[in-house]
Amino acid sequence: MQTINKKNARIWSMLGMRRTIGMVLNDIPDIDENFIFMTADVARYFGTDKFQQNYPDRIIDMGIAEQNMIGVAAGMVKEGSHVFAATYATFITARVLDQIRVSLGYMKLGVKLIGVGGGLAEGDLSATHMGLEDIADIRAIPNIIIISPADGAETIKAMYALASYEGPAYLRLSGKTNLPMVYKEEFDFEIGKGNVLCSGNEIALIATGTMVSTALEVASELEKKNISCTVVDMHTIKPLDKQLLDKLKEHKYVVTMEEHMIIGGLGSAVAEHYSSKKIRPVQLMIGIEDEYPQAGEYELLLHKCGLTKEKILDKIKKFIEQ
Amino acid sequence: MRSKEKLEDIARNIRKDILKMAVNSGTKGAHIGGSMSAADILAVLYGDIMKYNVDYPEWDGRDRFIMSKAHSSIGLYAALHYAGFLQEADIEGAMQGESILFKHPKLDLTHGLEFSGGSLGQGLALGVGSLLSMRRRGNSASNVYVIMGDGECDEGSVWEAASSAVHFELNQLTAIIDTNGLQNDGTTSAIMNIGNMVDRWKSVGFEIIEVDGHDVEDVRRALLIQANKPKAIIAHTIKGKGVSFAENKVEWHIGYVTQEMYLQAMEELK
Repeated sequence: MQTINKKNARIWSMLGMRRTIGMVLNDIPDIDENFIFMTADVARYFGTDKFQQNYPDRIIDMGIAEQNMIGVAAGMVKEGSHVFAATYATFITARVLDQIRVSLGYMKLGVKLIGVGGGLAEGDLSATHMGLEDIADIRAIPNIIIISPADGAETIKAMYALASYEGPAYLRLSGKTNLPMVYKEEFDFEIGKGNVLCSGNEIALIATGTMVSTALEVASELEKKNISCTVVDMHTIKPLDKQLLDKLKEHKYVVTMEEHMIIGGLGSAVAEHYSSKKIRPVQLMIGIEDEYPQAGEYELLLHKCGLTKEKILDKIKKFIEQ
Repeated sequence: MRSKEKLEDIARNIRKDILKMAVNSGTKGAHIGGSMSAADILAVLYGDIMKYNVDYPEWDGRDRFIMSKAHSSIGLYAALHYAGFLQEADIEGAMQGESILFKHPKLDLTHGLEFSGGSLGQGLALGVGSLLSMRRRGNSASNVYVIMGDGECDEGSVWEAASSAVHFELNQLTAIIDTNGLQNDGTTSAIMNIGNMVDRWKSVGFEIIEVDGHDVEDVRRALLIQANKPKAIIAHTIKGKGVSFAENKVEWHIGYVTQEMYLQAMEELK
């Protein structure tokens, strides 16, 4: 089992979430004796060599056939295996949505989906490989939880938690290698419970995935201007931590931040919760506008889509001044 | 082994149950065409081939049956009634109120329903997954039977699953293709001609057995053949078989069975 400390956090940061998964796979059979890792011809991207050597009978490559992967994973789960099925975020969601709907949503078969390239990280491969609507797609289907870790350490925590979780789940991985580090020491991770990283009273920044570290940077800049911020790592998008949202109502503003379409993502989930409340904060939704970005390098795309610290500060400034 | 007459009797009762559920469906209509075309295959499977235990439905040693062409659910419910997983009252109340039995089956092991269905082209993959897990658990005795329609074979996911069954050498798998030549909008050759069904399954690597899907002995012979690869039984059938007004009629994919039609059809089945 992995220890969360500065040194390891640095290693996981270098690896990025995808390769961190490849590394942590080796721990899971100890937690979950029925664990199976399944991919659709992308095992190499996860760096599964060691896992393959250690547990050759725990890894199944389904070839480039994602629909079949979900059906087979569901059949395996029904007969007692615990299957984690992994490929690109858009292929593990939109491409196979009906299989997910029937087998995971309707039949509640506890397949764990892992999507890499949630957001813009695979942007150089063009919009076909950007995971931009995956949260929206899965969120609309009952019975599937959605987790989007903030960094490598949280990715590991999420994997451990999912290994002992029975139901269906979607683990959304975002960012590239050299990820910013949010967690450098042991911390609590509980499915469905957002982590409050710092507390203030004026603006609540509720972020998920890579946007959590950006939210911390944004908060630090705002604090310099005496604007007091709360930052929440909302690693579980479904079920949403409604108790925490109710506490955050006391803030004047809520800013949701995600590397995902504004439509249907974390921001929408938060807005859905607040919509029926008489007293609620005004909400700014930061995410990707309703358009596919032109292919490009990750950093460039974050800039173009307005997801850098500077762009977000601008948006918040205009939002407050309006 | 049961006699030919006994198996035909089981099939006749399955058809009668199908008609009961159809007439009780009223103007909403019922999928009698595909249910009737699979009735003899279901009779052989539940009457003579499959291992199951009504008193212990979750018994791991059971064979798994998957109705991938799940709109033939009333055929499956009728077979489960014969087997004892469902009671007369369940059949009488099907398609109504709070019944567990509707146009598409829902996973319910206590009643012998292995998976939910309704969205086509997904049953074979579920069967492949079931067998992969059973292999890991050391269960080499249970077989998996999946009934698909020839129209259903339009779905690409069928062929993804078929390839994987051969790749993983799942010799306990039997795919039965209810080849009645009709789908919702017309004949299978006119709507989407996917070529010769035998050649297709053969090219993927399946052991092929062609049968008359209404000859219970022929079907049984095919199901008993041992193969060292997954089997595909191409069952040539007639949609609506046994009900003269529905036989080989596109419009009886789903149709409204009136009381009059019901009485006529029941008379024909005597």
